Amino acid sequence: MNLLITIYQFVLILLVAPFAAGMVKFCKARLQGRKGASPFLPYWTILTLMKKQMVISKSTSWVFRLAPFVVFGTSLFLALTLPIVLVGGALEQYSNFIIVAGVLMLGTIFLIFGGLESASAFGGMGSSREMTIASLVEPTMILVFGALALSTKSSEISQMVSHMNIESTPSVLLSLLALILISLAENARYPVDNPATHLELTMVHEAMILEYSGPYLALMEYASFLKLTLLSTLLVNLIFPVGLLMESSVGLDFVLAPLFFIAKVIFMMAVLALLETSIVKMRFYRIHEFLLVALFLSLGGIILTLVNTIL
Amino acid sequence: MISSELISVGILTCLTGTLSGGILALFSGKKPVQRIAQAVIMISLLIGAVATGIFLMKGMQSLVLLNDGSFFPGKLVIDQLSAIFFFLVNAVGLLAVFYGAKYILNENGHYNLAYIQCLTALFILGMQLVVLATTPVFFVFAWEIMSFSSFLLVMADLKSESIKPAIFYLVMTHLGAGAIIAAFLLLSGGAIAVDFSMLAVLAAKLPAVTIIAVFSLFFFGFGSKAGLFPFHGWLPEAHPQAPSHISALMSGIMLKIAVYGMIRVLLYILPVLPVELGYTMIVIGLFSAIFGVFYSVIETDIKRILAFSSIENLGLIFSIIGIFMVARSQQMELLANVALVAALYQSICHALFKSGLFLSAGVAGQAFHTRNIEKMGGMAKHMKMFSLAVLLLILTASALPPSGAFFGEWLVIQSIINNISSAVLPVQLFLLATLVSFGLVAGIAVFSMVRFFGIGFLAEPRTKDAHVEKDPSFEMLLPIMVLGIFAFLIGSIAKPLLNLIGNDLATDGIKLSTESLNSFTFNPLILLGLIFGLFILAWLFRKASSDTKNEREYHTWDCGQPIDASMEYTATAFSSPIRFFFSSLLRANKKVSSKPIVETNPWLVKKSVDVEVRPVWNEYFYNPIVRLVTSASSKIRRLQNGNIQFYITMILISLIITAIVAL
Repeated sequence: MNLLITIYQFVLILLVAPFAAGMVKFCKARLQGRKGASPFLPYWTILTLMKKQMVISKSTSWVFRLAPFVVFGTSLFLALTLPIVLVGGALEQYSNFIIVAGVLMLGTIFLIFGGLESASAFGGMGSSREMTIASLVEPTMILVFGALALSTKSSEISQMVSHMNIESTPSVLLSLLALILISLAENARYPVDNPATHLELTMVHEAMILEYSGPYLALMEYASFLKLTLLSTLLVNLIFPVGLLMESSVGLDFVLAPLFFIAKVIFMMAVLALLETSIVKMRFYRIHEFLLVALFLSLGGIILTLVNTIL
Repeated sequence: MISSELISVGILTCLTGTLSGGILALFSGKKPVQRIAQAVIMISLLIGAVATGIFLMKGMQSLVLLNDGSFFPGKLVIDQLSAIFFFLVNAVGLLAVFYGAKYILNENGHYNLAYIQCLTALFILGMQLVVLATTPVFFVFAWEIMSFSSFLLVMADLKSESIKPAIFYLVMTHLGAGAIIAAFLLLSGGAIAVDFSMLAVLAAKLPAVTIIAVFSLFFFGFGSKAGLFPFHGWLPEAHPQAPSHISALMSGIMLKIAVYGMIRVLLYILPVLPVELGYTMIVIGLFSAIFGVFYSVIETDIKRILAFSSIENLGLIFSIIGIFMVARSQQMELLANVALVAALYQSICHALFKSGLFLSAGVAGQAFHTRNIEKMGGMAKHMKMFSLAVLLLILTASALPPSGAFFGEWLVIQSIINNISSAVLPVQLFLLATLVSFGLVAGIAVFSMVRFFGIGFLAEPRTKDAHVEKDPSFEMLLPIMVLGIFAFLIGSIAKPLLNLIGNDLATDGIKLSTESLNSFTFNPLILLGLIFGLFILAWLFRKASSDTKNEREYHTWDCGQPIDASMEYTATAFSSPIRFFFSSLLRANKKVSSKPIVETNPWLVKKSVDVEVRPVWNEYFYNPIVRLVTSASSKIRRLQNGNIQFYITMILISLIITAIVAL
C-alpha cells in the first residue's frame, strides 16, 4: 500500500513537472508585458523532441549516451523519495539528506560529462561553471539540512517535513533562506544562470546540453523540469506542510493532495518569475559572493539551532 | 584448532614466498625467470590474502604466528586490526604485481624489471611485517624495509628528475622514522624488545607531559608518512616519480600503514589522551584535506593530481581519528566507535580506489607518453572497458552514492549530526568545523575527480600522437577493472562490512559497542538497486517513446568555423573559477603574454598563458627552515677553523660535559 502511494506521488510529479517549467515562462512573459506561450507548451516540446532525429557529434563516446539516462534517473530518484505530495511512504528512509545531496551531485556530474564530450569550448565552459557552483553548494547543503536535522531530530527529509516546527525553532528560517539561495543555484536560475539565454558567455546549463538533440535532449530537459518542481515544492512543504498525503490517508485526500500540489507549484513559479524579472543576473566571477552569503546564512542557522536545542 | 594452524602456516608461507620471489627475480633478467618470480610473489600474496580473509570472517581474536626469539626479536602476531591491513596489503599488492611486469616491459627499457620486481617484493614484505610486528625494534626494522625499498623504487629509472624527489622522500621518511624510534624509546625507557602490551603498561605509569611528548612524536612520525600538512611536501614529488604500480602501492597501501600505526598506538599503547590532542589532530587533518583538495584541482600532472587527492583523503581519515580521540576523552562512546570504524572503512575504500586510479594513470601515461593532462582526452571513445573502470573509480573517489566511499563519509556526517547536541561547547565547535570542512572538501574533491575524468578521458585527444585506439592489454586492464568494481560495489556490503570491523575490534579487547552502526536506517544494497533501476527505467522510457535508430553522426556545432582539438577546454581553464575564487589561498599567478606574429602589425598576436602556482608551504614552511638550517650551519662552520689545538679543546669540553651529565 505504501509503495502504491509512493508511485502515485511519482506519477503526479512526472505529470506536473513540464507544466511548472511552462508556468514560470508564462508568468515571466506576463510580468514583462508580453502575452507569452501557453504554460502547457513544454509537454509539446518534450513530445516533439521525442519524435525528432538525433544528431550525435563524432567527438563523443559512450559516456555521452549514458549521461541523459543518469541525469533523468537521478531526478526520478528524487521524485520517488522526497516528500512532495506524500510524507512517509515506502522509500522514506532513502530521503536521508546526505543521500539526496549525493544523488543530486551524481546527476550534475553526468550533465558535466555530457557537456565536456562535445569537444567544443562552449560545453567545457558550461561544465566548468556548473562544477564550480555544484561543488561550492555542497557545504551549504550539508549545513542547511544539518540544522533541519538538529531541530527535527531526524535525518530523513521526509521526517523533517512532518516534524518541522518553525515557531519553536525560528532559527531554521536562516537555514531555509540559505536553502532558497542554493536551490536557485542548483536549478540554474537567476541570479546564477539565465535559463532563457543563448548567449554563450552567460550560460551555464544551456551550454552543457548544447550538443544534445532529440530524445536525449528531451530527457535532459525533463530532468531539469523535475528538479525545478521538486526543489521548489520541497521548499513550500518545509515552510507550510499543508495538503500532504499521509500513509493513513483515505478517499478524498487523494484528490485534494494533487490540487494542493498544483497550487503550490503555481505559487512558487509565480514567485520565481517575479524574482527573475526584478533582479539581474550576476557576473559569473562574483557567484562566490552569492554562495558565500548562503554559506554564512546556513552557518548562522546551524549555530542558532544548536544553541536552541541546548537551551 | 586445525584451521588456526592452517592460517598461521598460510601467512608464514606468504611471507617467505614473497621474500623468495623477490630474491628469485634477481637471479636473471630473462623473461621466463621474471615470469616465475612474478608468479611466486603473486601466489604467496594470494595465500596470505585468503588466510587473512578466513581469519577475518571467522572473527578470531589473535593468532601468534612465530614465537621464536632466536630468529626475530619478539613475536609475529596477527590480530583483527592488523588482519584488516594485512589483507589490504596482500590484495592490492597482488594486483599491482600482476600489472607491474607488463607495465615495466611497455616502458621500453626505462626500468630494469629484475630490480623492480625484487624491490617490489621487499616493499610489500616490509609492509606485511609492519602490521604483524609486536615489538618496537621489529616494527621499526620492518618500517625501514618498507621506507628504504620504496625510496629505491622512486628513483628506479635513475633519472635526475626522480633522484631529487627520492632524496627528499628519504629525508622526510627518516625524520618520521626517527620520531617513531624516539617515541618508542621514551615509552619503554630503552627496552626496545618488549611487547606492545608491555609498553601499554609502562605508558600508563608515565607522567602526562611525557605522554604528550610521545604522542606528538608518533603523530609527527605517522603523520609525515601519511602526508599530513605541512609535512607532506615529499608526497606529491615522490609518488608520481615511481613506476605507476609502485605509486599505487605507495598511495594506496603505504599511507594506510601510517594510519595503521597511528590507530595501533592510540588503541593499544597510549592511554586515553587529553582532548586538546584530539583537537590538534582534527585541525591538522582538516588543513591537509583542504590544501590537498585545492591543489589537486589546479595541478596538471595526472599523478600529482592523484597524489594531492591522497593528501586530502588521508587528511580526512586523520581528522576522523581526531574525532575518535576527542569523543573517547569525552566519554562519548557512540561517536568514538563510529569514528574509529569509519576511519578504518575509509582506509579500505581509499586503498582500493586510489591504487586503481594510479594504475590507470600508468595506462594513460603510456598512451600519451606524458603525464600532462593538457595533452590527454579521447580515451573513452575506443578504450571502453578501461574508461568504464576509471569512471567507477572516480565515482568512488568522489564519494557519490551508491559507491563505497560514500557510506564512510555518510557515516561520519550522520554521526556528527546525531551527537553534536549532546557534546560540550568546545567539542561542538570542532565538530561544526569538521562538518563545514567535510562539505567543502567533498564538493571540491568531486571537482578534482570530474576534471581528471572529463578532461583526461572524454572528447578528443589533445595531441596527435596518442595511442587510444584500443583497450590496454589484459594484464593492465584486469587489475584496474577489479579495483574499480570492488571499490564501487563495496558500498552495497557497507553495513555488514562495518559491522564486521566493529565486531572484530570489539572482540579485540577494545570497548566497542556495535549498536553504533544501527544508525543505518536504510539498506545500501537497495539504494544501489534503486539508483540503477531508475537508470534502466529512464532507458526503457526512451526506448518505448522514441525510435532508437533515428540518429545521424555529424561534427560538433562549430558556428561555421571548423573546430579542432586545440580549441577544446583545457584542464587549466576548467579549474580557473576555483583558482580565481580561492586566489588568496592558492596564490596562483597567471601571466598572459602576447607576441606579434608580424612585427609591424600589433593586431595579430600569438598569446600564451602561463599559470604559476607557488605552494604556500614552500614559502612559509620549508624555505624558512632551509634558510635557518643553512645560516645556522654556516655559523657553526666557524668552529671548523683547521686549528688542531682548538679541536682538542672542543673534545675535552664535550667529554667533561658528558661526564657531568652522566654522573
